[in-house]
Amino acid sequence: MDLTQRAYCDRILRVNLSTGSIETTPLPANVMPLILGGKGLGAWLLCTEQPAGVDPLSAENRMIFHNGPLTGTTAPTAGRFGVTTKSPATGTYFDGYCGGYWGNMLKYAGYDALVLTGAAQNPVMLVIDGDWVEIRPAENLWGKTISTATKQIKDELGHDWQSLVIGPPGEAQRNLAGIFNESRALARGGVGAVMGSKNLKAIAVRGKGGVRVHDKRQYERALQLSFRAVRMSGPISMLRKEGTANILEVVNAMGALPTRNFQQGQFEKSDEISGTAFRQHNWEKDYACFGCPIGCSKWTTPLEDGKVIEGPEYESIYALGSNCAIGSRETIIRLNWLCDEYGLDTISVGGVIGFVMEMFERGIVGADTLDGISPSWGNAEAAIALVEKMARGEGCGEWLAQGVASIAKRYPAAKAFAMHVKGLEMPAYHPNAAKGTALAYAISERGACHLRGAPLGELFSGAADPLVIEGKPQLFRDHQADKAVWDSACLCAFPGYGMTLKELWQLVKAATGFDYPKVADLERIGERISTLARLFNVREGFSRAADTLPARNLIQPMTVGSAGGQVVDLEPMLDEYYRIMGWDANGVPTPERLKELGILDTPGAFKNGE
Amino acid sequence: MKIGLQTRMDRLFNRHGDGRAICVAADHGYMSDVTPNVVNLRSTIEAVIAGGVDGILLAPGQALRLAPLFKGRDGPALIVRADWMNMPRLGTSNVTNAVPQRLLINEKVITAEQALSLGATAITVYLFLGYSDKVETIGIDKCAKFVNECRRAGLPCIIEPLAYGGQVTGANIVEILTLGARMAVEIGADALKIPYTGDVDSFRNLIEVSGVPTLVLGGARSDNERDALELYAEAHEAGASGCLMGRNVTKSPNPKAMIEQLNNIGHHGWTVDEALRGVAWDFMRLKAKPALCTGCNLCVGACVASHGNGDYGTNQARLRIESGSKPGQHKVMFCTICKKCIDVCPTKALRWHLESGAVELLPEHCDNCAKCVAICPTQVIIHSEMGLTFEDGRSLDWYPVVCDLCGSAPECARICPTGAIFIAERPDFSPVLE
Repeated sequence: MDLTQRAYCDRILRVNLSTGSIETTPLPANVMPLILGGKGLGAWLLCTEQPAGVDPLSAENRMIFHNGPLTGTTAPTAGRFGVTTKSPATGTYFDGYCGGYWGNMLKYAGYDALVLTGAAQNPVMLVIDGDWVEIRPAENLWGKTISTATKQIKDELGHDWQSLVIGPPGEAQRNLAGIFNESRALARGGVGAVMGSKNLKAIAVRGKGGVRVHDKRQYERALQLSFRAVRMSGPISMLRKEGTANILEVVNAMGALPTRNFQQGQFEKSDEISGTAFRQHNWEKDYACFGCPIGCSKWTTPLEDGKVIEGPEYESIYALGSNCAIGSRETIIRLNWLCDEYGLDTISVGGVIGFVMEMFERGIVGADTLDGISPSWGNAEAAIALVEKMARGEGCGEWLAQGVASIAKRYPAAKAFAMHVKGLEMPAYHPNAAKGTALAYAISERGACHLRGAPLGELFSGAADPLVIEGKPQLFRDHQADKAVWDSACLCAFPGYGMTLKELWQLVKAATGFDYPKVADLERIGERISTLARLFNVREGFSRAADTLPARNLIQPMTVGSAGGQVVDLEPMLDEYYRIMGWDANGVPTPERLKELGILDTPGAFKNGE
Repeated sequence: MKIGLQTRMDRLFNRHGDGRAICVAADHGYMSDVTPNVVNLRSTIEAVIAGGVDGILLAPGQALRLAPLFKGRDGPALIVRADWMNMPRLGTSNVTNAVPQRLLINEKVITAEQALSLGATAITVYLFLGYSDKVETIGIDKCAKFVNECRRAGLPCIIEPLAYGGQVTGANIVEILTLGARMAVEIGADALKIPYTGDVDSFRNLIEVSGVPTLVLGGARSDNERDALELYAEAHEAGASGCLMGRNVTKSPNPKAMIEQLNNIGHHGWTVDEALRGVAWDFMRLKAKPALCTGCNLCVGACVASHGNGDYGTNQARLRIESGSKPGQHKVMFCTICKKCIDVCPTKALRWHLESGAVELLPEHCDNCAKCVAICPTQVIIHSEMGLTFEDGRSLDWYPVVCDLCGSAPECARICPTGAIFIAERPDFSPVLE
């Protein structure tokens, strides 16, 4: 089977930063139809090649960048790529995805994946120009912010290059550090810290190659259907108009907009920070990632001192806004600018500030331990000062930038309202007001995550009653399988508000020529991939005990709002979900289920795990 | 009463004697937004009637108010929306009214007799699928009661199966819609209003399974009007008896033209391209509105994929998106058919293509002096990657690659999601051979 005729490059680039060795290997051809690429390939490589118990910040941890079979074609959002590694924030399997313009470049350079191992002695940059790959010294980039480093690379190499860079928090290996392709980011789980631990400041790539699909005529037809489904979707036209923030009003109405560190689910200043308000006062122009017909992101009008960002999107607005009781759009933009400029994760930064604000209000921490800063609720100056500390690694910023879970270890009295799962700060949907989403946060292979199949439709498209738990395990299981396929074909989630798995199946089938007679065959691939990720976590010692939520969700009822009185009755949902997935009562996939999914039959899988 | 039913079915489906009906749904003010298309309902209805629409779906109150526009027997058929539901309020299209809803509510608002007295030719009712069994049971009970009333009154009952519930997935949506179509017919629907299944084969199957006249609905409006026309053209090919489209027509800047285009496809067998242009252009050109460009580069990808060996990529594109001076600004660089390359060519290797009017290279005349590359104001003439060898043994190690307008169907303009690059007529042009 010639994978280069099936939308793949059939090359994995392997760089060992300790030894300087650079080589390429072919894709595991017999496995590809089972895992598709992207997330599937990342999970497979991490599971089969990485021994158990590796320290995430050690040279042994693998960092795997991957694109998918559709990447680089004209499919909607085909510039997407991901990274898979073991996270320093969670200690789990971790995958993150990003738009921008880097993923398609890696594909055009001729690689389906880039596997990084080892760690350089001194700061380096990886330069990939098609077949030419080089590890260059990067002392001159070390310490530079995202925009400065990015510009310096473009000036040095040329404007047809794309780069991934980390900022100072990444260099300092902080858990809140992300990786940036200009204004787009893979920010969660401390992936920037993993890159920093390898002394790798940047990865620049340029490629001039192409992608050959298996059946061009069928693929063009599938493209036409996909684009039409995207263009004829109401939710997508809202995304274009008001960005991801378009849902803020409805989430607030449902009592699910986390406010004041999840004490409430409705924010009294929601009108000030809605998509409508941003569109009216702050947004100048739409931004699209490579190949994206939606353009959900927006460029802002400059702040007083000329600062401009691409954003803020809904998650950042919640994290830096309602979660800290900040209702000023300009403050949110400034906080977001700081995160983008220094290379921090907006969700986790907002999670930390909200958490610290609550600890301060309850007297658990004082200004004396926070370098004189008094972060009361909604205090914009304090929030900005805290983010600056985290960005520069100064004073309290050094330990704050390790995230909520790490802070809670210093202050056990705050554990009940440390809003994270497995060490990852929570995203923008209050679990008490959305039970399917609560289950997804508890189960997700990378900690509290809304992008690993959380059935968000329960909140904003009437897909189910958000407050009941009945039927939610099945709903989550379906969404989880679905989402794993999107991440493996490697498209953004947003075309999925118009397209369904059916359109994606038509694309994947035409591009790869793999034998998938039914749409449901892809669901099976999705379940297989999620199960692989679960197996990695099981091997690292995670099981049922870790599939949980903070006490604020489990035993403290919401006091006000349209989800008032609600807690998450998690255990019955876990039982039901494990049963549907064929996992045992402790959350470990059974050998029978693994056999059904073809995992044990996959050559090489889990040779280290058994 | 059977005669009444037949007369009304004919009124709806046989105004043109072809069994097809191009209809507009304009009942949105009843349950979703008060958007401009809803506020200006009267002018929209006047426009679609002027465009020759065959039927218009209205809520009962508006049917009463707008009755004079229907002008007796020669006018379009009035279809009355006979039930109300809260589903759009659960979604994002109307967030200001969004309230935490626990269940779908679907209420009957008018009887068949009342609809008849309004002058209705038919009524429509929803059948919700993919929610809970409870919702489905209530829906079937309601549809069955309507069908009985309609039978007594001799009024056609159009059932509208919708698959929006939480159980709907990409893997089962076609199955749910097909089953829904059949269920509607088993209940007694005289015709269906139904979403498109996404491809011709499955929609043809749905129509065959249902066995009654089927009107395809449009859904949310696409900014690219080609989408609605293509969707209808495919449904037409699959055997649909017409369309009952709402927002794609009523939110269009020109609803009359949209109806004329749908009519030309449905009643006159035109292709989408013919319908879109209305009149044939002799020649076209590309134009751009850079302010609309989001920088997605789909145009560049589409250009590369439709030339050379057909692989997808961005190398060797015949147009280019450049960053502007401010964040988010873009420049669209494409062939503006300025003729400078043709004029500068010392060997007359470049000329207007006789059919497309694009710049055409006659490679055998070319000695790759690169004067055209140098003079191109938008720098979109590029060096080919491969050379050429001629029969006489002469060879070129590269030749200039120029925009060929994809033979009068430019892929860049076709794929552009925002209309930042588009085609326009090129009047007063004829390619003269010198």
